[in-house]
Amino acid sequence: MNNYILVSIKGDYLNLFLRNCLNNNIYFRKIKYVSSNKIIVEIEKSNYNILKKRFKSYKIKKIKDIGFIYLQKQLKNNIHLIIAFIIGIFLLLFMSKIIIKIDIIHSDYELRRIIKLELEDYGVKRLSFKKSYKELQKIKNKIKEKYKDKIEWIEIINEGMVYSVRIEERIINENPPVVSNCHIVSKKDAFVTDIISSSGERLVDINTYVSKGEILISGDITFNNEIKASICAKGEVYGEVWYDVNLKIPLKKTLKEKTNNKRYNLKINNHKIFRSQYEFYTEEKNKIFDFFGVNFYWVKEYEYKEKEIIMTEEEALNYGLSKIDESFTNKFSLKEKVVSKKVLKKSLNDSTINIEVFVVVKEKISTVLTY
Amino acid sequence: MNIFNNMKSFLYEQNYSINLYNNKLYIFNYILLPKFNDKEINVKFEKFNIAITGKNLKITKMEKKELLIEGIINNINFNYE
Repeated sequence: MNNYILVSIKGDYLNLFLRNCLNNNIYFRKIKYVSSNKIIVEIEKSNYNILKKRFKSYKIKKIKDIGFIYLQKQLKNNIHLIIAFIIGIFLLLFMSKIIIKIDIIHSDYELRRIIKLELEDYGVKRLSFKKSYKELQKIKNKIKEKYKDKIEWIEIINEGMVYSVRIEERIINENPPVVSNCHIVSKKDAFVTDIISSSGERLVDINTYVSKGEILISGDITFNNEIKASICAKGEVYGEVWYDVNLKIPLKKTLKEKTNNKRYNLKINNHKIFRSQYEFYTEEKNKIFDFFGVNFYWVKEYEYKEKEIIMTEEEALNYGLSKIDESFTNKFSLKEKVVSKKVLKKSLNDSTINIEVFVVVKEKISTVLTY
Repeated sequence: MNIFNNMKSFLYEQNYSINLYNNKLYIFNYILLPKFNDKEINVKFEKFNIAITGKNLKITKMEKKELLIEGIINNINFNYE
């Protein structure tokens, strides 16, 4: 592809000049006559210097590049503008694919919260990419299927960068519950310590022993040994229950001893940026921000050293007893507790100690029995 | 053979061409321009010459094989050698 330039030529006897150019194999793609002694021509760039050399008596001046080379120059001079324009287009396209806000339209806060969590599980959340129509249909159907007793209909509408979620709640008219009669009975053998009764006839007192299945609060209301009415008794009964626990405790124990060393690290989802320098460490991570499903965490690593210790008999015993406490209290509510523990038997082997512990526990022993 | 000749002549134009338009004369495949002023232009071809006479004659395109002459063209004379 030849590069052409625009040149102005000023001088006398221009016709002669043109003939001489032709004789020298210098050609002009276009000739424009400005005046009797001036022409503007389009000439190949390679011929310009030859022209200037051979025709010194004429005023030959380059005006500008034309054609492909002109475009090249323009591109080079405006490269920043072009790049900014292209980036702008990409940014526009990118931003148009992002969800800025999700509006769940319904009066019930709990339902809105449930739908929001469900949508987040499917990746529909603020500052994430928009889903295609097919994907949205799938998500809607899955949510409807999962909450078919709560949701009649769900619609997700894309309005610009916002997803509007409209829900129609399913209202089920429940039949009034059939009230049956019931007793409060004991589910274990126990020694009664507390009775809290709101309806029904109390049949046992505090500080009495009850066996499994015994009626504690009766639903039959009697008067003069006659059953006057039958209701569903309500109440709670607490009692002391006895347990026999056998435990085998190893004498060797590995302790985690914290050093004062601490390091910082960054995590992207589950991947660490820097390799950990410690052999043993515990981690504490705090989320900094998330970016389209990618979570960035600030991580603190605390070094510890593993220390193997051999416990004495007493230490092992105390350790065992604390484990018993832990195992019971993990299951208990506020009113329940371990009352006492007594070691009945202990035997020492090479590396373990076997103990038999009698544990007295105060717990809820009542349960409802309908009839 | 005919097709080949047609294609050859289409792709590789060897014949001359003189096209007259409104105040314009387009010449293709000329050899030389012996005389050139605003009243007369002589153009040499392989086997003949032409002399173009008129007023305000100007060459507005001067390529290796193409010429475009603008102006008031009164006469075109063909001289066969």
